[in-house]
Amino acid sequence: MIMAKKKNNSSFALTRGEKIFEAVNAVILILLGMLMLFPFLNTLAKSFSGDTAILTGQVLLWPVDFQTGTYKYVLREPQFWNSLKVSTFNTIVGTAGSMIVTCLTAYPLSKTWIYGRKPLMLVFVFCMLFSGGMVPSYLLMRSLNLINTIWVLILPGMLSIYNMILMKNFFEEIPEAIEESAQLDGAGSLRTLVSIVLPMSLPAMATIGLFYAVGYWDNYMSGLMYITDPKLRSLQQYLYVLVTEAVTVNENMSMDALENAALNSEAIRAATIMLACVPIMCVYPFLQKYFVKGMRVGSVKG
Amino acid sequence: MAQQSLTSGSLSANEAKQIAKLNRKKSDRSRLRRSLSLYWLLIPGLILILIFHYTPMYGLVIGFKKYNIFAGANPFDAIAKSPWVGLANWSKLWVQSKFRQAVANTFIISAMKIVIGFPIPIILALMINEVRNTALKRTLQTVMYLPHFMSWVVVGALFMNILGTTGIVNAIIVACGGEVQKFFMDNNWFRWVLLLTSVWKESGWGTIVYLAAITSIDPALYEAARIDRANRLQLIWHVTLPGIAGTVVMMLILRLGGIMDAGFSQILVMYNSTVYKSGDIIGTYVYREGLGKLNWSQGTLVGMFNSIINMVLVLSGNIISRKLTERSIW
Amino acid sequence: MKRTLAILLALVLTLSLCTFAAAEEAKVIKVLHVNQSFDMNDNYVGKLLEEATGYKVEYSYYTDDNQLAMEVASGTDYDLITLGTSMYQTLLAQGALKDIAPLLENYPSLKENISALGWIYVAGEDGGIYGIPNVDDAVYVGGIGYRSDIFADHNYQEPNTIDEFYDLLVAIKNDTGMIPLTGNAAVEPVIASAFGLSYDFVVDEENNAIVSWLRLPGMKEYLAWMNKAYNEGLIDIDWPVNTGDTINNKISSNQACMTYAAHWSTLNWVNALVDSGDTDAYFKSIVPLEDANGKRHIAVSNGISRVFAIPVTASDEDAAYTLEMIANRLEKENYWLFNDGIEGTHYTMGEDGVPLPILPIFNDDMGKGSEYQIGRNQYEHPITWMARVHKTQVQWDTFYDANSKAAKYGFEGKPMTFANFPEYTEYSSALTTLCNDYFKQIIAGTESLDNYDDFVAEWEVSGGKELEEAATEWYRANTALVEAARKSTSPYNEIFGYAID
Repeated sequence: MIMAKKKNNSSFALTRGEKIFEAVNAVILILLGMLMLFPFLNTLAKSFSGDTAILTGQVLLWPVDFQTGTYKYVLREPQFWNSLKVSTFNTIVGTAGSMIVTCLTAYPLSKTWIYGRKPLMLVFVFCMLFSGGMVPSYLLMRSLNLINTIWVLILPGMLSIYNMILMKNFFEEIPEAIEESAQLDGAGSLRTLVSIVLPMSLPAMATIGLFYAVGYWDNYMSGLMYITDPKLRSLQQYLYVLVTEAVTVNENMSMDALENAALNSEAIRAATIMLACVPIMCVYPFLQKYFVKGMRVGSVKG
Repeated sequence: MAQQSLTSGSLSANEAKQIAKLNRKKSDRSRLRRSLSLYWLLIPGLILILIFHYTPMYGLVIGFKKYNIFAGANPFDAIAKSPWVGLANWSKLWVQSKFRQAVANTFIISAMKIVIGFPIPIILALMINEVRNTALKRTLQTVMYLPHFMSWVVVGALFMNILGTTGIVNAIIVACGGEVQKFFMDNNWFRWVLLLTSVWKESGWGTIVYLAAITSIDPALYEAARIDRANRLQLIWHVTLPGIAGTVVMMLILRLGGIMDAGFSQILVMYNSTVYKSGDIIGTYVYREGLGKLNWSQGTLVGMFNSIINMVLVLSGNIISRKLTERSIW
Repeated sequence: MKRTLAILLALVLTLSLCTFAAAEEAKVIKVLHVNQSFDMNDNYVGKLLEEATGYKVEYSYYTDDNQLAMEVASGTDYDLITLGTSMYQTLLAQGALKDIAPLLENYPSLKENISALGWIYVAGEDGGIYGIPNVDDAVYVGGIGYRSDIFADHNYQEPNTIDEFYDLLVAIKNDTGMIPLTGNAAVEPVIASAFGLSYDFVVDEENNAIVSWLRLPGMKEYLAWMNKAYNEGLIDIDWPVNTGDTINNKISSNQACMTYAAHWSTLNWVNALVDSGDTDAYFKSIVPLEDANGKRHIAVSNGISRVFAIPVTASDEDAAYTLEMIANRLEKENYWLFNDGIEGTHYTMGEDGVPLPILPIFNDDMGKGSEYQIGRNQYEHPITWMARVHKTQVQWDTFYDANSKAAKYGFEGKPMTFANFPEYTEYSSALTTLCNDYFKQIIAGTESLDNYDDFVAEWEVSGGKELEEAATEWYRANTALVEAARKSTSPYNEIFGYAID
């Protein structure tokens, strides 16, 4: 049905002006896209290039002195695999939990008529902007026995107020008539949410789910604060240590540290960066189909 | 799943009538009843923020104390045992002209990023939406959000190459008869470099919300406008933009809530002492002076200062938007 | 019924067996260590050590001082903590560290193997001992490395004075079109030496005091000289923004002729240059220049790099076991084992008693070996370390060339090496940042030397004055210690055949 609608849509004949408009638009976007692809390709090329080529600045978009040794090196590192496991677990479990809590919270708050909406919203917005700081948070995690557990990487960030507000905004756009019809059928609020509202909010769910997944994947701050056990390091925490170790070489470092830092070549850093961001980048194309135009409204019209 | 919602979502004429009736007489009692049936959904979210956000808030008091983490039997006890100093932690900072400069820079850089940087993802989203070739459209989306995943360490180093004195940009300038520009050592240029790089890195990622919002615009509106012989630009102006206006306003208000972070990790990678005058922000100043290091009192206080300003901006943004556009976050 | 009983019995048996086995297992020593990008528990060296010594050591890592302080303040069960000097001083002042002096009596070899000066550093005011120090030898890391092939082509000579150096820069610029000198140091040691500068705090013999180098007339002259060289294009225009990567790039791709060079950096440069056609490319070293009186001020990298401390919460029994492990690790055999590996597999003994690494297995297996040091064996460390300098001929040449030249003139040890008074910990790193930032602004010309006095005033207010006064007081009380630090000689002098008085 969606396909039919699409065809119908494009059956309007294009005027000459519109053709030019489309061509110019496409060219500009393709140029921008190429600009934005550059650092990614550059890092990718470096990860496959020889040390000499990188050092002398020959690598731009294509590997020079092609080699795969760096990847073999990174993949041989047990830390990498361990961190990958931690990150994958965080991202999957965390995103699932976050989506549940976020939808549950956003749904009531999306109702303009609900009593106490304004104070409730303020309660949430306030803690989006204020935080008690590092020490009390650390003490809290310690008293909850969360220090050096995987849950400390998941629970504190489970409800992102920012994402919740986005979700709420999406929910608000859904015509209330549909939900009310369900309620007339005797469905409870949870059932209405699950069987009516959520299926109609797939683009929103895809967006917020992506934000959460990327957030969990990229989060290294909680690891840096609450984790000392190397078995619980996430991929990004591992990467952070690896990259800062190489970058923050300074005059006060001991000679051994300087020497060790020099051993991590740029190619190895590049390969680790690639391996750390590729898995999460693969999520987006899978979610993309939910961004297809008209899906939701199509369902409203039946 | 979509199929299911299609059937359950369809309305009979009878039902529609009943709803209209319900809407007319939405008495306070039924409103309360319906509110009650929804409140319990908030419980998990409220418990989470109560534990992880509100419980640690007592820690804000250490901003007004001279906190020494070792002062008591444990860090918690130490909060009680540390002496009150009032606003001394603040005045110690504020007397330093470099700190005041950093506050000013924070506002200026953030303002630049909002005024110039905020509309760009919207424009990009509109442009991407106008691409008809699905394959091209998907590729463009995927490509444009890639830079978001590269860390500032990588992106910063790359731009230092491109915009460096021996970089390609300067090579072009020299070829055109210009003089070598020290983009990273020139206080006139540095903020623009920051703006450019942050727009470049985050704009593609920023389109996602708007693209998602565009998908929820009713195609019937486009068809109606088409029949009225509207051209493409008019369609964008009269249908698409109004359709995502709510999202735009909300994103702007949320963006105001982040005004005090002018891009800490970005600037930390790209700045150097010759551009402190234009590029040093609160975050980098605090970091560099080692104030964050074991000096929790000052760190907390600076954080509180940022939070208060962010809060004021979010609240006033929300009020102004409600007055002007009748849209607001709450 | 019978089956249930049998299962129950089996369960009980396995459970008791498990507990029994657990009790049999050696106690695990938990170490809270500085963040590492690799896991020391999983590393070859860690396993080698455990196998050889039988001690089970488990490493955890802290990110920064904040996390460390929170961990320690809220009572941790670590047996040993790796500390930088400033956190050691902080924790010591808070009474968070255990006095190990009485326990140390039982491990005379541990006491003997670490240098006496190091023990003075970790001694508290009450006479207790609060940690195991890592004492860095007074090693001269390197001077300005120059392209010996280019020098030979143009008949350039190694400069001895600042004027000769200036002429050299001009000649390189005119003859080759290269950037004569690249780098990013706020105070470039080779040039600073010509203005009498070596360390940020030096002894003022006349007043029997410690003064900052900001007070020396040479500092203003140095900054003026650097600014002039910068404006004339004799040093890299990117001096304030250069990073390790950009410097490496400029040197390896023939854009720049000279930069500060240590033995670990030249190898990559030479390889890159040779690969891209400069088959003669090689590096030699310029020694820190003579000042107006013909004296060179050659700084070395001596100091205390780490202190390993036991938290005050540890029991005497546990602490004793930890010390036993450390003593064991410092024994000659074990020290060689984790630093250089197994003779015949990872290294061979050269004729002069210097270990020569076997590549690539030495790099693969022993690359991170030095991270396992808990205290340095003062007798074995200099020799074991030689394996790392001998990895390749290029590295060794760089090290030998720089050291054999510099050793002739004698080194200046760092007066503040053993500074263990609180003001030093509190202010020195922030003041260093303040100074370096200002120096780079001067060099690039975004700040004028006319405001030098204002800057010194700002520096004084930011803790400089307090630090200077405290340092002077400490110096007067510990003159012998400071003098010992200043006279530190490189343990490698013998190798180069120089004896320094």
